[in-house]
Amino acid sequence: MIIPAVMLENVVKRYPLTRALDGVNLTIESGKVVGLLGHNGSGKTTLLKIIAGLRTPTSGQVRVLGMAPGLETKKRVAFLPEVNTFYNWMTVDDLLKFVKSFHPDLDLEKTAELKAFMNLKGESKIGALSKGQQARLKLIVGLARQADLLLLDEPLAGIDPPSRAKILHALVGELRQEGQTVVISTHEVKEAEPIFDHVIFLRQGRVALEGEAEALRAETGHSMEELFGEVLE
Amino acid sequence: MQFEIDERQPIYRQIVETLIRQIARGFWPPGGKLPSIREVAAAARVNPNTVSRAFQELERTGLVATRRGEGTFVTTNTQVIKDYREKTARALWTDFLGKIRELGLTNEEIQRLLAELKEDE
Amino acid sequence: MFFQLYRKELNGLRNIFLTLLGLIMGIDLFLVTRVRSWGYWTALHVTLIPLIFLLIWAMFRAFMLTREEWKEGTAPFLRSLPLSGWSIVGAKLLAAFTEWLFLSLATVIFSGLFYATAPLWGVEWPALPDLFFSEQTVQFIVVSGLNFALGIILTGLIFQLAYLLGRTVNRFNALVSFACTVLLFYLTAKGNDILSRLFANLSGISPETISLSPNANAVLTYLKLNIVIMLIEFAFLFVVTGWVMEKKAES
Repeated sequence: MIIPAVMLENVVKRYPLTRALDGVNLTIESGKVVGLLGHNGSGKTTLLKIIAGLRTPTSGQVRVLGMAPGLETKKRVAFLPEVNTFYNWMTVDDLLKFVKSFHPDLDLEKTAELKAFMNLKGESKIGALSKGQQARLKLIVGLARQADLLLLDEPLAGIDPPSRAKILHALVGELRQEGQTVVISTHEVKEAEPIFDHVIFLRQGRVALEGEAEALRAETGHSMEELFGEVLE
Repeated sequence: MQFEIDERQPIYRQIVETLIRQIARGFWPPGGKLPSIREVAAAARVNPNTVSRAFQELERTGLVATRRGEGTFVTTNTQVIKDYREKTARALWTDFLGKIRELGLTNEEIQRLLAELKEDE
Repeated sequence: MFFQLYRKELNGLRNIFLTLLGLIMGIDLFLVTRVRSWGYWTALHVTLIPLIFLLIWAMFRAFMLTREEWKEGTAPFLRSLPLSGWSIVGAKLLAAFTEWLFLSLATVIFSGLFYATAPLWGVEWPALPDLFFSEQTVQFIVVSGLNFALGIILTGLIFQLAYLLGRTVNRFNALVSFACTVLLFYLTAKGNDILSRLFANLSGISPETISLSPNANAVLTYLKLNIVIMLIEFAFLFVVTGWVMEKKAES
């Protein structure tokens, strides 16, 4: 039996005044490209951070690559948060070197290739990069690793619309490692939907609808973008 | 190689249909090599997993066969292609006729219309 | 891996380190211009004043380095690396301590240069006092130095832990951090008291005996004991802080 990349059982994340996740049950099969779709505040980021081991659920079971989130899973998971991820005072190459010292699986040849593809210079200071360039840098760091699970939180934010499609397709196409599971959270479904194998619609901390994208299309005759509007309004 | 994808319908099926049409037309000739899964995925801008599923479906029709390590090839058996083309045409024709009959046209009227359309061409 | 992290912390604080180093040198140069009006001895003493400032600065430094990760939004990235909470906390403490050590050392060296140039100002070159080389004095200096150093690290750790505890909630972070700071300082002081009483029973020296009949040897023993006590407290708090960093804080 192949171990699912992620398994969540009745995961609840409660804060003193709010409930970020309200009983989430999920299985993400390994090797799939998964869209985690929902509006801001629906719990996407919390869910990704729990999988990444940055937050602990109030109750419920989490299994990432068959293990509880921790140092072992962090070695095999690449999590790229939404904003301001890296140290502003480092250069792009400093950062890659820094990451390499913790993740030996970072492929330096691939980073060179990716820098060219993403149009980034190694000697640029991260603080001086535009929002779009920072978003590209995040993708470089994520894609150059041979991580089993890649978690991307709103990777398209800040990237200009014409480049989005190009980057997305490269992401699931030639840039993705064989068999890598990718979870992408986004609320910009239109551009991203052709790349999803599986979609999860989150609303107010609950799974409103999930399934194989193709099966949902066949069943409903709707695109994921239309379903997004229908399920989440 | 171009793919028009409608996101309201299963994407793999649209890829299968497009490729079958292209094979029937001879765009991919008998015995010729089909583009790889990655190439199709890049052209259609979809997930390679989806294309791989489309290829499996396509193999089931007998129109193509995958040789390990070499790629996917169109069958050399032109009869299969011909049969498939006729079968698809027949299906389209039946579908079309059904719709025309719903308008209440008799066989004679349909014949006359067809003759007229031919003259216009 | 710990070393890479430590190096990152050092690189991160380089700018402020250099600014402070410049400031210390600036103060010394300022004093050079004031030798005539203030007198050489006053000026020489003032060259050591930055040491007091550095002491307070160093206590906040580890906490500031931790807070920066959250403020700049780099905490999720840092915590997604396969690093134990203890190495993250430890690297910051060690970097803050290194900064303190080097800046204090620089202050003392500049002060020494000031001393070395005494003849230039027409001042009799004072002989180093004999006292400086007595064995007991050296012991005192070493033991007090260790007390200061440990005190700084321990305080730095408390601030860091209080900050991280504030990060376990999604609201009122500052309030929680504040309350935790007060509470942790009280608990550490209380713990210190309990432990020193415990050790007093073993060694026969307690704070009371020192205040009643102060003598150099008793004070020295007391200071040595205090080092052990602070080490115990540090170890305990470090375990807790690393755990909070790895498992409980949210980013």
